Amino acid sequence: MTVSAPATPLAPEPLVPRAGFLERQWRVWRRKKIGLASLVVVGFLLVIAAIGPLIATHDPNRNKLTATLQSPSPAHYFGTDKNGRDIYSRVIIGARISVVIGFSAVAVGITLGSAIGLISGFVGGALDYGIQRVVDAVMALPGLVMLMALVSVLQPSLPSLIVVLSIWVMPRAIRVVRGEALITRELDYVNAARALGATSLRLMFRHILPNVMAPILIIASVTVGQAIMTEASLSFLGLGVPPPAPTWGNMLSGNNRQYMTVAPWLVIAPGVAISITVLAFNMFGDALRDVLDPRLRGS
Amino acid sequence: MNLSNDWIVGRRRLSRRRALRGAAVIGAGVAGAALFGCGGGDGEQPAPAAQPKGAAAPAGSPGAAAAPAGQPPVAVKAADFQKMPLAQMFKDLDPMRLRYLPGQVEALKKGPVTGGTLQYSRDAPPTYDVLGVGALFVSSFPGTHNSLLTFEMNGDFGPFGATKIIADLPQGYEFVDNTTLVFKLRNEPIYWHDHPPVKGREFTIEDLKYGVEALKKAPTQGPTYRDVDTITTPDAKTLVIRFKQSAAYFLRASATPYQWLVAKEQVEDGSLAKWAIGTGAFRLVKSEPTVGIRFERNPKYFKTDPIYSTGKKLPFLDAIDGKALPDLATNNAAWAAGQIDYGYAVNVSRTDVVERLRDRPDAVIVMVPPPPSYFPLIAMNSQTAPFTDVRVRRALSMAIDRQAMIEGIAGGVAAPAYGQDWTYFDRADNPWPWTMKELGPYIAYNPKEAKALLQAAGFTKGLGRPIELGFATSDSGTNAAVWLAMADFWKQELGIEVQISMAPDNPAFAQKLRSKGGLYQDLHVATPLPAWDPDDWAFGQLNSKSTANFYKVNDAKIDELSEKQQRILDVNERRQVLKQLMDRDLDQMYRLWGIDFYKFTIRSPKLFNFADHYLAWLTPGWGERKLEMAWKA
Amino acid sequence: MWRYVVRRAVGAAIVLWLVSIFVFVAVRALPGDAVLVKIGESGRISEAQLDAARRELGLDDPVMIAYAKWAGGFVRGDLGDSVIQEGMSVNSRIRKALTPTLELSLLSAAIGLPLAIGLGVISGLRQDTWLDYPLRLAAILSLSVPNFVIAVSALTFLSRRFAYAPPFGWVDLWDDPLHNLEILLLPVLISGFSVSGTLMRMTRSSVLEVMRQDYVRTARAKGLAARDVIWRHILRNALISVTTLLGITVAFMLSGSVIMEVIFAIPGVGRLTLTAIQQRDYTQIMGNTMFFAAVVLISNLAVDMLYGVIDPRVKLR
Repeated sequence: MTVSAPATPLAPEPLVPRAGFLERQWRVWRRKKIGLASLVVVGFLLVIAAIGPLIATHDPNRNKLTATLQSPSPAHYFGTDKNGRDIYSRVIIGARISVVIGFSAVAVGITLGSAIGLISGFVGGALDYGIQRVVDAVMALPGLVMLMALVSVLQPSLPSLIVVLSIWVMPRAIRVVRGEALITRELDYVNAARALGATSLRLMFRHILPNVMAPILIIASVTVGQAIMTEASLSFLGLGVPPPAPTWGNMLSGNNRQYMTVAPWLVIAPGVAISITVLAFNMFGDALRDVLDPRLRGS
Repeated sequence: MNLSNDWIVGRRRLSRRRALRGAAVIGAGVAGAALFGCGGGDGEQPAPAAQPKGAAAPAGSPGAAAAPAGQPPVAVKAADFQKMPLAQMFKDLDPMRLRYLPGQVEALKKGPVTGGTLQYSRDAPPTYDVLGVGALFVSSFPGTHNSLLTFEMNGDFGPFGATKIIADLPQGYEFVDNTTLVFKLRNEPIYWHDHPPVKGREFTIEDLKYGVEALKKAPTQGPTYRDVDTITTPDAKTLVIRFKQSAAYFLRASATPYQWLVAKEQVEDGSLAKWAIGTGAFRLVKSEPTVGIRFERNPKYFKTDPIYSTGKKLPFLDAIDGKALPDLATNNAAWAAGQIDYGYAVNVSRTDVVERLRDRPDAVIVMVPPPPSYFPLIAMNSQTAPFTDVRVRRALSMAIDRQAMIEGIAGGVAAPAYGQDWTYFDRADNPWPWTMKELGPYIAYNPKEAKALLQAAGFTKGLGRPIELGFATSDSGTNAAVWLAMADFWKQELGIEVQISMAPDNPAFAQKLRSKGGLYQDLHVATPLPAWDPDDWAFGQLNSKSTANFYKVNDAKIDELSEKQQRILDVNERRQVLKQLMDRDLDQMYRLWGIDFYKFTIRSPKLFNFADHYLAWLTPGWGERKLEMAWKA
Repeated sequence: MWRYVVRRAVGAAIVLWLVSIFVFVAVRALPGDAVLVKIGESGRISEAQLDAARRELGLDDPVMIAYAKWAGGFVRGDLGDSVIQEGMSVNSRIRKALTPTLELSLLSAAIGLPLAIGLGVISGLRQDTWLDYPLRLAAILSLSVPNFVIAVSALTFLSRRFAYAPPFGWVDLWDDPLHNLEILLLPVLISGFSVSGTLMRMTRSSVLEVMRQDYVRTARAKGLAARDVIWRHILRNALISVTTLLGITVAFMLSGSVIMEVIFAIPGVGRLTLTAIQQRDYTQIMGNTMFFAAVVLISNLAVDMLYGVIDPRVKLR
């Protein structure tokens, strides 16, 4: 819809057509060069995760005992490990696992966390107090160590890792969403809607949630990177997804670290992969925040 | 934690499984002559079957000082080692070379240096209660206690395989008849360490009796005394043990390092777990978990220098200092920086050794046969389908290309594995592990035959379902490479899908093994138990009535043979029975064997008389009296 | 103010109680127990002997009773004895392990915090300039490269190249200050670097946020020198957000030090807890986590009260 009007004394500037949502977003993003780059990297990562098996050159778990610890070559782009497995293929398939772990943990954690936070903040009272104390309790536990205990209880596996990481992600989402809910529920338009007879549920999801989306998305983006990092730490301590799964964390584990001096590619490949991924998600989160939080839109 | 069990420069993180492996010394060699009551004691000729190759001049004689012509230099360059063929390693890295180290030659002229502190990587144990359930772990801390018996070991002067059993604390022992064993106490006085509640008092025959009886009642040591009838002390210098029936295993089992002689006061006031107080060469002075452990010379130790004939009292070292270094990278860094004096290596590949040599090019390196119980194997739940069918078991074994694993994973420095002490048998002086031929037809790599067997057993595609393989996280590192390779062979050759089930740590793994129904559903990674007598691997691991039979083997023939070998005092006869048992075990393939890595010890050139007995898992692991005789320049 | 503190204290007590329940249950749910840890895989020990050992250690009580016993002791200030480490009390082990961790954390903070805040301010003031980008990159790198990779690489490189390694084998600061500091040099640098990343970014964004505020624009428009503006307005307000982070940093330090402690063989609290879990040392685990939770709660309270002081807008009710 276009509206144009000639300049008049009361409207010193001509009104320009309001650009579409996407176009406005693009303009903002275009100026954030780092944000754009990170968006590209994240996209690239997702693509690799999706088409992984198509671009891997070997079966990531196939042993080849005649070709152990080979340096990078045209046959094996990133070389081979102690069992003769192709590292390039393992990194590619590992991307898939890391993405699954990261995204699932964050999705589950943030969704549940937001729901709980919303209810907690909106309903208030004793329920809110109780939930907040529980959140405090979870956050008062020594992080990595408790994660290890949880993984030990559930037996290390892909699903249990996702469960544990979700639990780790949740408190932050609960806190932030609750905070926003507390603020938003006092706002006039919410009270107005309530006066008009809107049910609590409707109030929560229709009115409060949209305000809360921005911080949720920002947290989500950064948390994916953190989740991947935490998975690597857990694998370092022996509690990641069991071998022979080619997770990046596993590839940095003791088995490969001890050959760092003789076969550095064993460690460089997954190390760089983790770093770039976490980097990208962090920058993406930054950019997201700059974009979504108008107060920060810069020079 | 992900604990690689490869190059261990000292002690790594406190992993029980690792510790257990470290806490193993396997009996090897012949004790037969001693069993026959030839009156043990120092100075007797070791039985011929166990002499390591290339044995040269006897210990201590001045004539040993000069290196014979053509003896290779002791230092090996990393680059050379990388390319060294196995045959050359047998020659150049033979521990018998060590006696020609310049320092040793000097020592034989002048005498060893008294003083100095040995630095290594070791954490303090949580308990010193050797009479409790954790004895295996505790006993990897040598030096504070003496036992009734031990293997003769003289550091760099050999023997490197278990040959002769000698009395440790007593003066000597003698089999008066097949069921009566007599020990004589020494003439010189022996004192306990000066630490409350024992406070340095003199050791009496009552102490000896008490100690032996305590061992008899203890859970780990008890089975060694299962055939003991009475323990008496007819006079102040004599202890007599009478057996109900002949116990062929007793001497070597009794020499196992966890047979500590403890003090009555400690047992009675409950302080046994808190501090190690013995009669040994070193006193415990500091024990701080996660920090380290320290021992200092016992000034009243009763043994004198058996090697250099100086008449000096042992030990030579002033102190032994162990630092807790939980991570492998930390260990390697400490080694490279010269903070620890030696590294030993079990389950390592050629590459690991090369790297440690690169860290310290002046290091002295020695290769010895591995202990026959340190390697991982895959245990099958032979009571559940499909593993009840012997054809399936044989097929699984034949699908594994062990030679490829030896070359690919170990870099050639390994041998096919089987859990029985090969040095016990008559193998013409060969101390090195089993050969493929000795291990029967089902050890050979024969994928066609394996497929045929599976089909004969009724399986057309794999085993019809994925099979579960359980392990504990501490089984990573080179061991992991081995069983990962094994799982991959099954996938490639037989189309079997293996699902790996990882226990987060050792207690979780132990829990799974012991829980109702026990064992993992199908397969799990295990190690043969550490021991010093073949009885443990024959009876202990395979007899259906034994509590150590994790594998739930229930074979009438094995039961019969294992019970029989307990009683046969004649070594040759016993060997034959044990061999029959071994053949039967391999024929039925109750367990899936991998590879046994050769063992390397790498040490500072300033450390002398410290060669590894090749039964020791950890250095200075199980009960080696070599700590008493080691010295630092 | 006092009402606030009392309210928080009551809340903290509840939280501690919840923590104790979570951990108690979780720990009992861990497969295997202390007795299995003691025996390893020694096959000669029968179930009967194991049960006897369990009785001796007091491990055979049903969960509720065990909890009641523990809670009773806790309220009296008695955390009990370590299950695995014969004869040592939980308290004494925590105390001994505390010194190394505190030293590591404080030194890392002492290096990381000023660095982070300083660089964060600079980066914020010079947003999107040539100074900003590399600083942001460094900060992001510190977050994205796993700290154990940095640590292991550093150790390996230094030991291989220069035959240098920190002189492992802990000594306390007062026993041998040089030795102690040399042990901590590398881990402090790496920890400090890892932590400073988040802080730097937080500082930067607070600075940016403050800079956009109207009152800052007004101050600048009124002609106040940039430096005055920065100091009086920006820094003060930026520090408010940073203060929250301090609380988190304390917690992070205490728990996140596990990996550094393992790699550098520092006998700290993190490692103690890790070992306790691996050894199924129930009393030790409970003691450590309660201690840690208490520290976190106290530091949160302190931070909030600090808020009340720094930020006049905040009223502690």
